[in-house]
Amino acid sequence: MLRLLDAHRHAIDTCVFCPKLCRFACPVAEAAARETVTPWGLMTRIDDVHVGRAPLDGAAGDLWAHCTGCHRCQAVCKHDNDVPQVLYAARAAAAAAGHAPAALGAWAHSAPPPRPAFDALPEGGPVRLVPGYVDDDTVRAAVRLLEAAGHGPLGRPVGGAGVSGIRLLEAGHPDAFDVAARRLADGVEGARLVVCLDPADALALRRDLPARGRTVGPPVQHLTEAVAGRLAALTPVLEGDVLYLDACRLGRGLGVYDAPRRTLEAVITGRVVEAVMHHAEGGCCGAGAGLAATQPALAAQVGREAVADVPDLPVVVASGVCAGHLRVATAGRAVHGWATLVARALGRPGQEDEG
Amino acid sequence: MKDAWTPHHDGAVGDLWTGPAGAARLEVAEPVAVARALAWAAERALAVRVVRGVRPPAPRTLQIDVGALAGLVALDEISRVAHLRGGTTWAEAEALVASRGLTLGPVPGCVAETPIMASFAAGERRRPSPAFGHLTDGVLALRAALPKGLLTRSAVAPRRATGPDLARCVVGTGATLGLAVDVHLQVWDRPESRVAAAVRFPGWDAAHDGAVVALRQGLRPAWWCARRRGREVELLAELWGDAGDADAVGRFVDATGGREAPAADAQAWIDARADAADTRWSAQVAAPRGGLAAAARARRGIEAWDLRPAGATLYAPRSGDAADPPDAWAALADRLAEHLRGEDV
Amino acid sequence: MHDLTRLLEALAACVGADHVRTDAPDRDAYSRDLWPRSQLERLAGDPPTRPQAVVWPGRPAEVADVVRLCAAAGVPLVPFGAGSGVCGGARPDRGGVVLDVKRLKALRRVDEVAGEIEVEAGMMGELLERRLEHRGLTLGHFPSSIVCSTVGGWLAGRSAGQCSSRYGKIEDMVVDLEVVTGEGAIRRTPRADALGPGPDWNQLFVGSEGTLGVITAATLRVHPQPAERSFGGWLMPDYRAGLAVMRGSMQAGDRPAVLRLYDAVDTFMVGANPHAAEGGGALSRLKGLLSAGGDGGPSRLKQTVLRTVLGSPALTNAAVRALPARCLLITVCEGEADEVAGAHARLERLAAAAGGEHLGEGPGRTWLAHRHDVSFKQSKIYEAGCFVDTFEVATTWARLPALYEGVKRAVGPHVLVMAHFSHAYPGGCSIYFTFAGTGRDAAAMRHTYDAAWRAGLDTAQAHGAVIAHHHGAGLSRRAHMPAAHGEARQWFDALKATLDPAGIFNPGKLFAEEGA
Ligand SMILES: Cc1cc2nc3c(=O)[nH]c(=O)nc-3n(C[C@H](O)[C@H](O)[C@H](O)COP(=O)(O)OP(=O)(O)OC[C@H]3O[C@@H](n4cnc5c(N)ncnc54)[C@H](O)[C@@H]3O)c2cc1C
Ligand code: SF4
Ligand code: SF4
Repeated sequence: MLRLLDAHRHAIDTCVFCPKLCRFACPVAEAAARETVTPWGLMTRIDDVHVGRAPLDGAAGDLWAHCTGCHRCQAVCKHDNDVPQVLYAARAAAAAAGHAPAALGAWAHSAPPPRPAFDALPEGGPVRLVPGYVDDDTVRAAVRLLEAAGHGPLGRPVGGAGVSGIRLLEAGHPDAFDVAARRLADGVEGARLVVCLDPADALALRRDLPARGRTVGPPVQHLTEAVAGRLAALTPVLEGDVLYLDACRLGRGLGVYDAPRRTLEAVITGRVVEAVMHHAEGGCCGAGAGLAATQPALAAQVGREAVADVPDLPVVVASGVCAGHLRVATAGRAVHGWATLVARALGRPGQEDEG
Repeated sequence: MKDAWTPHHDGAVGDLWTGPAGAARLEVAEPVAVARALAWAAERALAVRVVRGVRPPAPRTLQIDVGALAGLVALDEISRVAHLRGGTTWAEAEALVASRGLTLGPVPGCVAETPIMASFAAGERRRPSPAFGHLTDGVLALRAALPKGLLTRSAVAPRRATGPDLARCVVGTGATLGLAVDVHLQVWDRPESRVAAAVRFPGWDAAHDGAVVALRQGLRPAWWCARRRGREVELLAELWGDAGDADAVGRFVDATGGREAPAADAQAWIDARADAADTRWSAQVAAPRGGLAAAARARRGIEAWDLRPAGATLYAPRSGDAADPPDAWAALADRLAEHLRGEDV
Repeated sequence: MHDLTRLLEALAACVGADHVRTDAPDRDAYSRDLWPRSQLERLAGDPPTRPQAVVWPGRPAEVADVVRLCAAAGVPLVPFGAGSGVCGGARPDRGGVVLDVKRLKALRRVDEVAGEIEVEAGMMGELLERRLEHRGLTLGHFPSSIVCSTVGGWLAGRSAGQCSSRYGKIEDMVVDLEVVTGEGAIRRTPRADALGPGPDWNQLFVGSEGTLGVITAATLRVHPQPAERSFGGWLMPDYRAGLAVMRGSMQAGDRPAVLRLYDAVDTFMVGANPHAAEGGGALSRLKGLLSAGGDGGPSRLKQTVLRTVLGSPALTNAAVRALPARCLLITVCEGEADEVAGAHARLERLAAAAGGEHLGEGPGRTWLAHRHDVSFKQSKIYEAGCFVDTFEVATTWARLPALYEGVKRAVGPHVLVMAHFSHAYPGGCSIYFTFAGTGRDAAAMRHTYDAAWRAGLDTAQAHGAVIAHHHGAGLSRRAHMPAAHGEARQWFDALKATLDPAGIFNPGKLFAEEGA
């Protein structure tokens, strides 16, 4: 299975011989304070294993779990090296050899949380909702937002659980991802619009699946894109300023930065405050690519560091998964999912559905 | 004063004089003689004092007279670097480079007659010049004599990264870790014009703030100080520059935000500084930003020097305060000296 | 072994089991810094110099515990920042314990009024500067490695940033240090601006490269973000003319942030010479190979060409001599408007007087925007089976030309060599040589590499230059350190005996150990 890495030889060499030029950007390396888990360190170990200098063992498998797939490294890399893609291939090699951390496989294969609001939607229809792993509160908020934005009535993809299987790809099970993502792609055929609540799913359908030879028919958007500029009557529901954290796969992944900020400005009385690094350089919550499952303490540290620059403000992030993780990581700090917060601003009574 | 000394000859150091209570006196003319003298003193556990001329004997102290170890070895006019022997006094050094159109920067009267070697040993800090730094700052290389009787060497360069700046061992350490037998110092073109400026402020801290604003605007007086003047505090400065710059004083006054006072004040201060060897200044108190007024009140401060964003150094009359207790660093410095002499610690 | 187990247990008890690691991946990752020779050794299949363990203390008190435990066990302790050092300074070549300082990364205090910050040593440079910038401040320290180095590493190695002519080197920014010395005491050095009797301990710890203690925090001077910036670019008739401009500016007391003069080859390589078509054939190819963009990885053919060009350094360096002598000078002035205008105007006068062709703001602006790009070229060169390294030396202005010519001549038979002059001071300047070469195989490359280094440092020393301006000595310059310091070594030995009585701190760095 190490042959999986052959295709990445140039990317590996580029990092191995690079003087760690993205060192400061990697949130995992920064939180762990550990050279071994820098992009350089991860890729160097991949090289060692690939050329037979080091064994493919549990230590390697554990090591390669140290990445959230945030792509901050790529954002500063003049070679545009895609470290996570190589890591996912390395994870696949480790998984095939039985050396992947058990928690990573469990995370990838876990079922989404119960989402009665999603289950209640009819199958099919012009606009199909892909909830991914977000919780039911977020699904309900998204349904309200999309309806208010004129996207109703909403439907479910035909068949499947409304997940793209991106976790499978990230955990090193590319074939299983292929199956899951193709099933989802089939399930949204014929729709006018596909709306994902987790940016990771949107990215899977827009980037990863097409890269594997299967394009998705209808346009795929993240919720923030789908409702941008279409929500008329928003009344502020939060006093003061908030810190907005760009979800990695929404910002660096889909290139969506300003739409959620504009909407957010309409639902708070204060300003949208930026962290020291934001937009393409924005921090990472720490949950991505299975880190929260394999290294919960480290993932929590990554999350805390992402919002530490501006310690006193509530945090808003436009991914239900990120919001959930940050809430746990920062214990006690107000963290709002963008969807639930904006849905409150629609002002319908009795819908205080903040999670 | 020579009467107090008795001529003597020693196999290791040659001719010397001895005095009462273990006092000794030696004239040196070569760097290696300084090294030999240090070793000789170390063996006898004598303290070492660097002097010019004959001074009264002090118990268990070797006076090293460096009068014959003076002069300019070379002047690199391209790099503006003067290679001076350690026995040269600052006034002599300035005269030597002045004859070639160059300057060491301002030389305060209180150090003019001190040999360079002694200033380094004392860690001289009485020329806190924004433009030129302390007298010992502009050193590009320094050759030292060590207590074991040997000489160091060092390449001449403005900065280096070859380990700790070991030459600092002879700055501020008396002669315990060695003495600077010759130094390469940065020199500068003599200024075309020197003008004095005086600016008044309602208090110490306001004067300090004004000085800091001027620094932040890029103004670099050749030297300056703040001193009490009735109920006010006056910032006095000497500005060196091009002859064509008619507005130097105006710019300085504007930058500080104070009220312009007669330049004669500043000139008088500069003149006094140039010839007064005034030891009243030697009590130095570091005052933090915003704390200058309080420190001046508590210590009857006379002048504040080394005005910098983080604070200033207040000069107050010696009050007979108990010496600072020896701290952990002083103990380490002692151990360092003992190791250097090769003693078991 | 038994003792090591006991030591590891004790370390885990003090820093937490998660913060002591003995896994192979960690020991490998901490077996080297970015000294290119380590990379060549790795390619040659040499076994790495691995530590027995890596520890990550989270507080200065834990650092002190680690030091005490290692001292009691007599186990080498190697402080480690981000491992971006290029001299082998952080390489645990005697094994032992690597102490990674990066969990100590708090920005403890920012005093805008006093212009000071107190920051822990493990803070990554770029992250510190971004935080300061957010508050309208700057440290003014911009080494090319700011993205991959720590404050502690800067201090330990006497680092220099690209704006050193205005803000100084890191040693010029230090107010005081918090250090853990060999007996496990946490000490704060006397402030540099309030020194009493005794040596300036700051300047003895700065540059000590982990041999005298662990730096855990520092108070550093900071400045307001500059209000104004001016950019200059000139094509000077030759490098001596460029040096005259730099010297004139610094000796007039101006403090431009950047004065950067590329020699003819480097000028050609940065592509700023509008008359560049005159470049030699081999060089043009080399430049094309290294230019950014189109990153599918260099083709085999390109790699072969690169190896051929670098494999015949004598020919390539001869082609270099055929290049026009013109040299690019880049300047950046910053600060308040008056100061900027004055310094820039003087540069214009000096450059015109020295026959410079004014290129406008472009070169300065382009440099600022792309100043870190050059480091990205390193991968391509190694990927092609070649190596690249740099060394920086310094001397007075008067000796600079002879030093430059001498080193080029000495190194030229082994490698392609180019240089730029940066880090200017009133009395002199540093020269930053870049050299690239290759060899039949990794062992041959290492041989060529060593020969180039030896020739370069020998020649620098023969010209009376200092052998390092800001990269430190580590292992790469160790053989030349005795000659650089002569009997001053006694001071180092006494410092070592005083501050590190058990002799555990980064043994064998800076100077070889006695008898080793
Ligand atoms: C691409 C590139 C560009 C570079 N550009 C520059 C440049 O422009 N200017 C420049 O000055 N340098 C430059 N360097 C060299 C290097 O980045 C510097 O030497 C830097 O200061 C090293 O910092 P570090 O945190 O990586 O330290 P490390 O490499 O981890 O350590 C360096 C040395 O310091 C010691 N050390 C580290 N931290 C501590 C501590 N807290 N206490 C005690 N000892 C410690 C180590 O033991 C070692 O001896 C460059 C390097 C690279 C790879
Ligand atoms: S991702 Fe790019 S910047 Fe980071 S180590 Fe790899 S090559 Fe260097
Ligand atoms: S994707 Fe993010 S976590 Fe992964 S190596 Fe790059 S910067 Fe680090």
